[in-house]
Amino acid sequence: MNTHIIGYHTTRFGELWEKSLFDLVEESIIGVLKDAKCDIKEIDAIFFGNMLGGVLENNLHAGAKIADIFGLTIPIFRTEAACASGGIALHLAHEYIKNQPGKTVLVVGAEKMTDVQPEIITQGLMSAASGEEQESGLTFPGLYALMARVYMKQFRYERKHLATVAVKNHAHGILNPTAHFRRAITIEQALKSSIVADPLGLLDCSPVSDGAAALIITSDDARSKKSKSISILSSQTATDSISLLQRKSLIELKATQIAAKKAYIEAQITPDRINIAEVHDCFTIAELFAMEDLGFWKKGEAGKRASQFETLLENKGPLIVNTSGGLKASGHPVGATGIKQVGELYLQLTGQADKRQISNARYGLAHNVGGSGGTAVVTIVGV
Amino acid sequence: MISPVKVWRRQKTIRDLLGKKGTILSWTKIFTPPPQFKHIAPYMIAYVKLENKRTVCAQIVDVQDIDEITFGTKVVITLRKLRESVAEDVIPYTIACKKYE
Repeated sequence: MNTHIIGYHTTRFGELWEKSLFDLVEESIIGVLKDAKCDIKEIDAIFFGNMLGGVLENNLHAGAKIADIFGLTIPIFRTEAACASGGIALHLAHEYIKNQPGKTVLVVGAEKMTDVQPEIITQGLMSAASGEEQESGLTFPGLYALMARVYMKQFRYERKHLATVAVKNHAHGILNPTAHFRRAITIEQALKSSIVADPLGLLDCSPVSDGAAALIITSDDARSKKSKSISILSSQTATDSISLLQRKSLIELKATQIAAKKAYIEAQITPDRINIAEVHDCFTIAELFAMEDLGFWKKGEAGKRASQFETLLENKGPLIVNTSGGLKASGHPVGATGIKQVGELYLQLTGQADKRQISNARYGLAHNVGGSGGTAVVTIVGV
Repeated sequence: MISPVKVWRRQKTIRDLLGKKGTILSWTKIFTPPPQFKHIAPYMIAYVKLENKRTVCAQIVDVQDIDEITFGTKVVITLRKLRESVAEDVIPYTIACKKYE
């Protein structure tokens, strides 16, 4: 018995000052029910991914808040795994319905980040790092900068190699109506942008965004035939130390490697069969790590191959990456990202990706990471 | 408010690290600080592998330019007041690292 995705809706990602966190949640739930032609009465449970509700606005007990908005009494669960909150919500929702016929579940991820000053967001996001890392004054750009420096030295890359990731993802973002940024950038602009955490500049970093995205998944075969649907072939997750200090290697994310291996085995496919992927480019260096850790490219190759724009839509290669614009251009409302990634794959595999559509989309992979690699979720979907 | 009990709990760990020598594994310079470090930004932070094989992260102090640091730069762990307190708050001291020859 398969599990299917039967609907997807995302809000715009960006600075959405008129919308509160739960305005965004409400909008995405209403939108996905409409997309799947589902009545809320058909939903057996809701999973909600969100990181900063408690940290930034003293806003918890999300289950009851969602029940309040829609007049529900069904089980509603919140999940948190830093930037993998959305991916973990989907993973748990999938665990909830797989091997249980006739269940339909809604998964929503949301984040409200632009109400506060940048320093407060910087500090809030560091709740995903270890106490020692917080105490030293590190920030997330700083953590990834530490990793980038080692990678660049070991494989002889420069900032311009990393910049190509941002250039590609912005080129995709222009084609995505819900992306936070819809304008092209050049490598020169990326290199000239102010340093945030040496060697990472402003355009190496994904932005602070508001947004929400929702999916409906079902184990009800008959129900799945009534909508445009795709199958979830595997959903796997792994953890690693929260702190970079404990890691053996600063140039790879073990959690990604383990989750990916398990996902390929469960889906019974190899990395070369994936046509379309959404990977976790919280920083440009993170997309390079992802391409290697997910088994698409060999260790150390990513800087070179990214610089050749192999995964740019326009180049029509065998694997296109981050047609949504990635975290960099489509934005990174933390809890929503993991859901948006799978939603983008759903649009691609059901032929609804409009100007971003690839041809022959058959197998898609989504990769969502928490913190500096403490959690990774890999989801493989197919038609 | 800086919690006195949290500062007190950290003291033993900090004491054990003081004076330990190590080498730099990687480093960065932070330009977008969290609020409690705004007053000293931009600042440099290193990952340091200590002689006892433990890895710590610490701000690099007494260094003017990021170019003075490279892979394997020798540093020693020292005590610094890196955070501002207000009114009757505890003043938290923490570890930092500085070059030594």
